[in-house]
Amino acid sequence: MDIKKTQEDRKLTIALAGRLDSNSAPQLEAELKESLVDINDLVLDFAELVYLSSAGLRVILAAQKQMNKQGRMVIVKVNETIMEIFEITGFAEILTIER
Amino acid sequence: MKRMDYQYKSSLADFDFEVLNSEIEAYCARDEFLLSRLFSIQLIVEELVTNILKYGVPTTANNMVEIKIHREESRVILAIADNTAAFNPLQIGEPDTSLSVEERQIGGLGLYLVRQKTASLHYEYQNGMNLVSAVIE
Repeated sequence: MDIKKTQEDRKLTIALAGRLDSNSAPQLEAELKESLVDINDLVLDFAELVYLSSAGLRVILAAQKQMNKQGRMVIVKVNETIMEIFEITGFAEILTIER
Repeated sequence: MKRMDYQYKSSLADFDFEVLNSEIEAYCARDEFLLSRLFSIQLIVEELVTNILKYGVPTTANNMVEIKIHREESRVILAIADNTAAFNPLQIGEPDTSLSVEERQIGGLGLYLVRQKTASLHYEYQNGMNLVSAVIE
């Protein structure tokens, strides 16, 4: 998985490309841990994300919990297969998703 | 066309998802039916195998896991076998998917996804092996 970060003031955009699975989830978790200090607007760009498993959901939920305390988080450009995972798990109800 | 099965076998210590996933992609690429189910196949395999790697209680110094994918006319059968201690993953309780962000526990979603993505799911323990078979339609 490739992670591309763009920051403007307190807004951070993280674009993910490839697979967010049990192999790559720790990489995103570490990246978020390092980058979220002082951020009040987190955008996760899933345009090039092709796969998501429960290991990825776990990291996304942890990020949402943290951002609820310090601002907001939005996930953008979610493809159909990944949207289905969000719907099945009830994440579609608790995350802010802009397709 | 003769339909070959896919097979991957590894010790738990050397299990390599990158190799497995690229092989599954190559296997599914030959066939529209399999290709349209690639995401589900990889998801079910990952969730079940991750569970074995994380929670499987070793019974020898070199426990193994084996994955087979068998394509039938209108369904795909995944068979996952391992020789860690007897454990039925189907007994794991379901998470409450209606809770709020603050209430949701981190984790516990893997087997829930497997259940949702399969037409049927079966477990048995036989000759020292945990055998899970999952049917995708």
